[in-house]
Amino acid sequence: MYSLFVNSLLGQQASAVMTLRNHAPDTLQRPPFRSLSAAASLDFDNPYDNLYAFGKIWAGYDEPQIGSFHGLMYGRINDERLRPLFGYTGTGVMQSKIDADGNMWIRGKETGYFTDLVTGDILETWDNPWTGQTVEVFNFYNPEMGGKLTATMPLFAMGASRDKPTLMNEGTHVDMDGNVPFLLPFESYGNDLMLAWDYAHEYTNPVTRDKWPKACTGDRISPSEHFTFAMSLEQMMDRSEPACRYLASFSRLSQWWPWMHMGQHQHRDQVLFGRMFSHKGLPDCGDVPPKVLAYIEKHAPDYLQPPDYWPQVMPKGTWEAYAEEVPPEA
Amino acid sequence: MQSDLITSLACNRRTAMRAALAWGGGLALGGQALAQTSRPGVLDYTNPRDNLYAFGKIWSAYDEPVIGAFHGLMYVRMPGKRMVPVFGYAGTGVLFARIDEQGDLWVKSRETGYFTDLKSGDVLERWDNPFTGKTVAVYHFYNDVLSGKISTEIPLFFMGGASDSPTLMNEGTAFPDPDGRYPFILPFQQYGNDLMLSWDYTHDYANPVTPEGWPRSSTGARITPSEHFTFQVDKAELEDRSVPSSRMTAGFSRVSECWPFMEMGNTEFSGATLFGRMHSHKGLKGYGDVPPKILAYIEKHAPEYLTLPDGWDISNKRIDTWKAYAQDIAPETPGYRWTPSEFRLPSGKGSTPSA
Repeated sequence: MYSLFVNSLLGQQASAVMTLRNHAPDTLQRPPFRSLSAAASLDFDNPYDNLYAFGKIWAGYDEPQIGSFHGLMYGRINDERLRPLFGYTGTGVMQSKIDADGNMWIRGKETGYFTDLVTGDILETWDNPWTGQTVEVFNFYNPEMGGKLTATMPLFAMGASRDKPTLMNEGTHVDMDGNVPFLLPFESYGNDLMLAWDYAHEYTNPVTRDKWPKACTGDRISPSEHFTFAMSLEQMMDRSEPACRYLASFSRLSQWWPWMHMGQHQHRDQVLFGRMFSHKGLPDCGDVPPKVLAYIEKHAPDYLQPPDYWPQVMPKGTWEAYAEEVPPEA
Repeated sequence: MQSDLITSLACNRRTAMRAALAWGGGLALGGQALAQTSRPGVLDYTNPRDNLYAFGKIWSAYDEPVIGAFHGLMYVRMPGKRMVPVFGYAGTGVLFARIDEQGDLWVKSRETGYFTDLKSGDVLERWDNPFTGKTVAVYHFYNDVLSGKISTEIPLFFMGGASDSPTLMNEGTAFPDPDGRYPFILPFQQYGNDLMLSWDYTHDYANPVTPEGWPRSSTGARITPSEHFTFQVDKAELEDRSVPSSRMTAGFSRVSECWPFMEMGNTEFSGATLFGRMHSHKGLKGYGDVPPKILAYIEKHAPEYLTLPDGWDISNKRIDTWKAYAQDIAPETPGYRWTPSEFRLPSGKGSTPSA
């Protein structure tokens, strides 16, 4: 899941927007921080403090942090009741650093699995209730992700060069005469700091109809992912703490996954919706569901550690991975 | 938001429908089962009564009402197109719960729901629909009171008309026992001292805002709103029975057809999907969980929505947003049979005779 974000950073077309260190923060429509009575170590109107906070939430500065997500996915077809299809779960092992210019770097590896609704076991095949076919499940592995975030809100360049990039947090971003600083929609309630993070893509489907007619749902795809984080404001403000414990909701909408083989079905372009938990910050693998941890330890133990370098890699989402790794259908 | 659940409890026709709803799968907890504890006084998460207690404490409060809030963003999704942020969505719930002598859980609440400007966060009275090009009056959601009882089986929600199939709460994470019954066992999970719980309801019923009566507001003959919560609470606080309510933070997402006030009916956009992702939380003192602009709006326009009526013998008249809209807003089709509601909307579309 995370790869839609981080892997896109290297493809960002940031030249279209400018870093805005000198914009007056009092021009922003910011929600109040009613709890910041103590000496605040972070200025949430400063893009660089936002970068620091984001790296502390999503990853960790001293040691890698392994987080997970787990929940449920539904199919939505026209005006029919949403249908639970399978569980969706996985991990992200993430590390961050701030460079000499105040930019934030991130690196990591990811996994994504689909699980049986009743047992929670990771599925290797899935019985598609619409087509009647049993299909092979495509587990998602991203061995190398990483990039740099600057004081300008990222643009994610997905798909083909002609595709319009995605502005992170469109809808909550701060637009200053066409310039978008890296200011995030933090809010505080009591000692809880809350943050929303969204990216809504639209781009050319890498899983093309001519090569993968069963897997391709159409020429274009529009996956979106949405996080609502909650964490301790006090822990965030304490710069001696290298990472924040966070608890989040992770929701996503998209076309069907390619491996579902809905490409030839009358409902090929409908809605796949997921609602998951996402969390990190416990020691070691404490945030990973036991069955997922056991599966990774058996099949992919390398995915419990980030790369030992700071990669700058091209974007690779689930659809890109599928097109790379799954041979065209005969 | 909450109304889809609680109001439905009062019209539960469980017994008649139980057999029809049973489906395959053995008794199991969805996801990772919560570690069991044998310490006296704590909760047994395999016991429906303890699940009822926990649910009331997470969602509501036992000694005195609490006021919670939700706030976030809504998008319109067209097939193959980038989602478009359209407005904020925020509101409140005044919540109160009790356990009766049989051990059943009673819940009572009063709710608001507003739509807000993306930039300013101000409550919208009118909205410029970017798809149709029209400016429409915004319909705020007010539910003056809801109450209902939850017993030791997972509720069925009866929405729409008599011919509509009821909604099984938590379909996907609730599973029948060998007798085909769905015990009120919730999919709790534990990570560290954080207890997590998901709560889902996915409806499908006849649209009260009918295409014949409200051709601009109606997106079609049927609607399929669904709501999804992922709660996080402190396990120690939940299990301390001397504490009447848990601090709760949650993600709240919903998927549905477009709201009636958006007037997407009879347009090429009538089949669009509306998606929302919101924060939801309660448990701070006073109005500490309510976004300041929402609190100021309620205090000005609807201060009674910061309180709850006395008593539990309450009839639920405003079931959900679509049904309330069909009660409050006169039909767009002249001569369409309709009886105006006596309910007084404090603000928004329908709050004045000319609206």
